Amino acid sequence: MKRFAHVLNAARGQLKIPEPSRTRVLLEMASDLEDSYQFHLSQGCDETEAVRRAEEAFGTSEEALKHLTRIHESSLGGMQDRLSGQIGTAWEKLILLAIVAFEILATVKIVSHQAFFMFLSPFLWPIAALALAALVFTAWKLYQIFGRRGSDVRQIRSGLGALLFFAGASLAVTGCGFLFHLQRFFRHNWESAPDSLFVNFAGWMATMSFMMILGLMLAMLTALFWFVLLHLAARTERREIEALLGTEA
Amino acid sequence: MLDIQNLSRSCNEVLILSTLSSGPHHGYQLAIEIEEESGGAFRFRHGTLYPILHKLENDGLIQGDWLDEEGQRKRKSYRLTAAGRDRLSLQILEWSQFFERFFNIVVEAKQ
Repeated sequence: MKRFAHVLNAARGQLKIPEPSRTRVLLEMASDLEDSYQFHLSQGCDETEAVRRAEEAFGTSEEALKHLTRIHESSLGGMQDRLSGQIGTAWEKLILLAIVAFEILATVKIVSHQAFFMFLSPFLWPIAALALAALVFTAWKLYQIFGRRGSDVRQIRSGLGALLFFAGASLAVTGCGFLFHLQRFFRHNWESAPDSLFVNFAGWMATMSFMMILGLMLAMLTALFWFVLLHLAARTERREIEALLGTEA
Repeated sequence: MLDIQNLSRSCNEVLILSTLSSGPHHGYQLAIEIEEESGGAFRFRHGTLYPILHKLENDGLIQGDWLDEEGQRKRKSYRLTAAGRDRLSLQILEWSQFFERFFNIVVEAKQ
């Protein structure tokens, strides 16, 4: 599809939006240009004429591209793209990897601590289920990006928002768990041991903090997975459009 | 009520929404079908469709998915959402009222 590289390059130059959004718009344009080209070929045109007619029918105006820029600048997707586009240099990638590794190690450390098993709140199960779902989803997406031959670059991004949902749900369950145990603690201790209420409360907080920290860590880890996948999806899309434009590094 | 200043934009929107009400279409297909159905009266430069499609998608009125059609390349296909269907019904009503009032004035002037 390099036959339309100059049209797509011209549009690329005028679209002032974050690279991932721009890449997706260009992929869509490339697909439609190819459809138009195939249509003109089927009508009996030779290749040169079919390209000329497809380009003529396409005709993006400067105004249309400006309008497109305004739409993508203000959208939620545009904001996500600006975020994921911030990881560019090797140092930035290294720092991101270090943060992910630290998060994983800290989570493992908490779970393997003896005190963690002293108080196993029932709220830990939904938190663990959400973390497991996030992990399976991330592994599936990584397989789509790196492992599976013929997987479509345009579908890598689909469903990534589920990770943010898992992270939010994990936070919500942690918050609910904390409030539930808090009211239970006060109900039990207010009348039975009013003198040692604050001492007991300090002990209770130390036990509860394991569940709260774990919930927060897992939510952060899930959000980090989302960020890393968003970045990988953007990189894969960029490679695809660079191949189409003939501008591979 | 239709905004007279944005008549062209509103017209493009209702044309796209009504074409999508018959089923999913990709961008190029939409432009061709609207042109054919209108006997060439509504002709889109394909490139000018993207701002309209992406605006409708951002507003949640249509949904674009990259679909794998058997034996063909992947294409971004748009379909109408439930909110899009509601908007289409409203727009059809507004356009009917608009033309009724418009012809009231025009026909009166002719008589």
